[in-house]
Amino acid sequence: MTDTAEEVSRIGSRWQPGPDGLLLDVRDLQVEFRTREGVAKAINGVDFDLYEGQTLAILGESGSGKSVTAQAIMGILDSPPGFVTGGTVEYCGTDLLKLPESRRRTVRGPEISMIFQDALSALNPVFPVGWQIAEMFRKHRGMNRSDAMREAVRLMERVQIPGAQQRAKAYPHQFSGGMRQRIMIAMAIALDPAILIADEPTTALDVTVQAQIMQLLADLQDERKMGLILITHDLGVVADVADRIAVMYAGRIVEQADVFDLYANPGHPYTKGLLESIPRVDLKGQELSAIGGLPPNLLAIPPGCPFHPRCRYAQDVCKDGAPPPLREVGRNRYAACHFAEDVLREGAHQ
Amino acid sequence: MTEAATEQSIAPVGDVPSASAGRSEWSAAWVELRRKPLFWVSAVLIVIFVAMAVAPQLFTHTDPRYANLADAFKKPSTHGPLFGMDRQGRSVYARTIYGARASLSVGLLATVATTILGMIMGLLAGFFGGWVDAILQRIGEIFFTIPLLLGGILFLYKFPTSVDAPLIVQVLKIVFVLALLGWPNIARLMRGAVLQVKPSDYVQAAKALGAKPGRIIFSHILPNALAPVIVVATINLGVYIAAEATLSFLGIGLQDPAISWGSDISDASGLGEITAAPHMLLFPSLFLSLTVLAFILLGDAVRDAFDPKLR
Amino acid sequence: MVRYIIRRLLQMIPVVLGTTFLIYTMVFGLGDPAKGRCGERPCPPAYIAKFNAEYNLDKPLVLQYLLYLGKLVHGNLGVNFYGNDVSQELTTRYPITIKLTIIAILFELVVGIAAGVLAGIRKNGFLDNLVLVSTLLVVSIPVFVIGALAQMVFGVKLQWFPVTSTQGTLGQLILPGLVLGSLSVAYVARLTRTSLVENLRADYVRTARAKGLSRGRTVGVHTLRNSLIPVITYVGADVGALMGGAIVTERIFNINGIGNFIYQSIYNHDGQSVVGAVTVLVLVFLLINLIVDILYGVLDPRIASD
Repeated sequence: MTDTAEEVSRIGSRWQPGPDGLLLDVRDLQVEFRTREGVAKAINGVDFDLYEGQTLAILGESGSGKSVTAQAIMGILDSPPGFVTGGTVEYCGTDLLKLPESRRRTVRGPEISMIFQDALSALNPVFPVGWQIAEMFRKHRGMNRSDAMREAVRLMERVQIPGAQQRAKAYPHQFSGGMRQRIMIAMAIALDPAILIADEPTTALDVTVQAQIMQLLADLQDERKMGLILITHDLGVVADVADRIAVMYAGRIVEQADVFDLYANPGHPYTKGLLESIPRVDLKGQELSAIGGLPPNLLAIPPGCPFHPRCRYAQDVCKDGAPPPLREVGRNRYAACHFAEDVLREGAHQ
Repeated sequence: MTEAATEQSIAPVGDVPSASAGRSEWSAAWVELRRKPLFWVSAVLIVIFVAMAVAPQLFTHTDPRYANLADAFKKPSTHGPLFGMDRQGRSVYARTIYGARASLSVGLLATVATTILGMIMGLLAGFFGGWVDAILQRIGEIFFTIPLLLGGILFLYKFPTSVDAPLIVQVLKIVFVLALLGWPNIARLMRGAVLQVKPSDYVQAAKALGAKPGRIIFSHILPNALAPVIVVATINLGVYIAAEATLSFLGIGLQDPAISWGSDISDASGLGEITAAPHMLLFPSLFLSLTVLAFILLGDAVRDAFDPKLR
Repeated sequence: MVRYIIRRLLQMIPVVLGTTFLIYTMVFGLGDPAKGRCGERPCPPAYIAKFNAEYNLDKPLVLQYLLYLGKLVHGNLGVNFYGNDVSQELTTRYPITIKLTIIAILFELVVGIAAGVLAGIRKNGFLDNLVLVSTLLVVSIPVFVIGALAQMVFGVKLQWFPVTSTQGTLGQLILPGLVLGSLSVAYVARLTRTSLVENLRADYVRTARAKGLSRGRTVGVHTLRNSLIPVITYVGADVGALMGGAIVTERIFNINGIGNFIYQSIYNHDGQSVVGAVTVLVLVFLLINLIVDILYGVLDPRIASD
């Protein structure tokens, strides 16, 4: 409960990424929520990795497990009811899941940090924003109040908040949505983390502001060579900034590919459905209308491929047994579908 | 918890029509309530106390006012007076049984009166807004500022109860003052609920279709606002029972020959009585506390049933 | 912030006027103020006339009230029927009741918040259930029963505290203060717990964890301050109830504070004293509520800025 643990890590050695720049290696991650209604399998074996300077977009509709994945990596799942039940999350070669909480805390902020969808509720309403940013320096770097505040103002200037010096004393509710998200970003990059996880960073914002925030994130990543995990349900948002995309459905990654490959020719019927729905509906939140049916209830995920009740390629083989594994279906691209090749071929002809 | 599994089961449909939302909320609450053992404990206790209040003869044949000085301060025993005798040689058991009537009638009537008054005021303030709202709010604040006990004491000082007044008159007097000072609480709640429901689409639609204010209130606003009011009202019941006992304890609530736990406790709590005859204090206190407890438990259970998040 | 305070002050004016008018009307405007002044018999007309003239009771009610208010502003609460200066009576008794109330409030804040926090951070754990059950018991047992029991157990049997507190010294007031605050301590504990549990689920708490802050800091700094906002509001409103409850506590322990004064004045049909004491009590209550409102604005910047 004291700050000594943070003290120790500050002196300790800095984490070093692998020789190829590998930062994060997630293998077979499993998370469940134990609720009164039963056990909900929120994540069922997620694999991905992230390199320095890379942007990985995790795409999925709400309930697909994308935010839970992020929280499990950060170690901030609400527990109970959420529990990590399996897998590894290796950061610079160390499995974070095996670290004691006191060590793990020193990773959050200086090494991996996170910004959230709704900055208004994610910032503490009763403290000035400058104070909240400065807290990072005070608690992780042991700076005194005035030095920490100077750093906070500098960061606010970096994320282009006009009048940062005065505005640092203002409270979150006194800012516009876009400015608040900039403050969240300033707080997250304060300690120059190697990885930034952005959970739906622009969903709550106006379209024009969305573009500015995405640009800011891209600039910051360029400048600091961060690994960026961008969680979103909005295909439009990721197209410009992401290098790689992982599409999640019912707690699994169903397709993973480089962004151009995936856009050009999806390898999973779900991804295909998502892409097909874009041009028709321009409004956010409705792009799933082209896929019939509803996402599965996580308390009772259908046997076989969880997507089969909504899939137009579905055949008997999809309806029971184990879900199809994520397998290599092309150069550096993976899909979890029995008929991935058919889907790809069909796309190539169009 | 943004993607907690529970959210999955809720289909992404738009606004559910109000009437069915209200009804399903109530039946869901009832299902929730039925599962709670504490609800059943409190319900059984309340039924027993209500039976005591309605028909005390079922529980005792002894006249609670019959005094025999020879038996004064007699200790409780299994083959004599079960709860012992008081200073004047009256049966503590019989008096404790008969005391339920005063406490429960004050509690129930005061709750009903407060709730009705508060709901009307809150509805008027919330529905009409503007200066009606401003005036009602200020009036509410004025009554809210006077502490319940102080106001009760002032009022009963000004209109003392004569010794020969029938029980119901004495009770109504206390009910009146409790309701007078207690309504702002409910009114504030009701006003908030109305303001929350008023801008919603179905109320606006009803208005646009030319529905009369009365109809909008009864079919659209009331069903949605009732749940929190009921929760607070149940919790208040215990408060009012305790308030009556306190006023009677101070000697300005119910007057002899009316039997009240509060005045019996007052009789028993002199230092001499406490040491000589603790049973005089114990039994009425126990019954009073159990009654208050039963209503608090009921209130808690009802609140949890309507708002399961809280536990 | 200054504008917020000014606005609160302006809003207070109608409430102060309304409340004092209501009290005045209740005592002097309704029924016969001279009733009970001459024992069981009705008073002779000459006495009533003199009585009414002396206390301005022959004038219209609103005028009476304004005259009273004018005197009140100058700290003059009039002379009661026994020829004693009411203001002076109150000055000697007020410190005792204030001490008693402060003990109760401190008890309420320290024990209540501590119990609530312990219960809230481990929801449904052993401490949570212990706090839940014990607060339930305290809430169900009326204060006057707790008072009588405490007097018997700690005063008479164990002799830890004096049985009565006639002089109103601090040592004598501790037990009555604890009794007076017992009900509120239970409410504060439950309120703190509920509020803490609710706030621990808030998004900004998750942010605090994502910032790598220790659990102590996440709860103690980031959650507690938000959670205490409703608690402070409750305690502010509770001051009135505590001062009302002082009547009961002061009677049980025979303390010569305002509560006992009001009680005795009621028995002696001393309207002037009753109105004076209750009015001052309500004014103090309103003043404390103003302070709480300002504190509220400090604790929650969202309130003061709009």
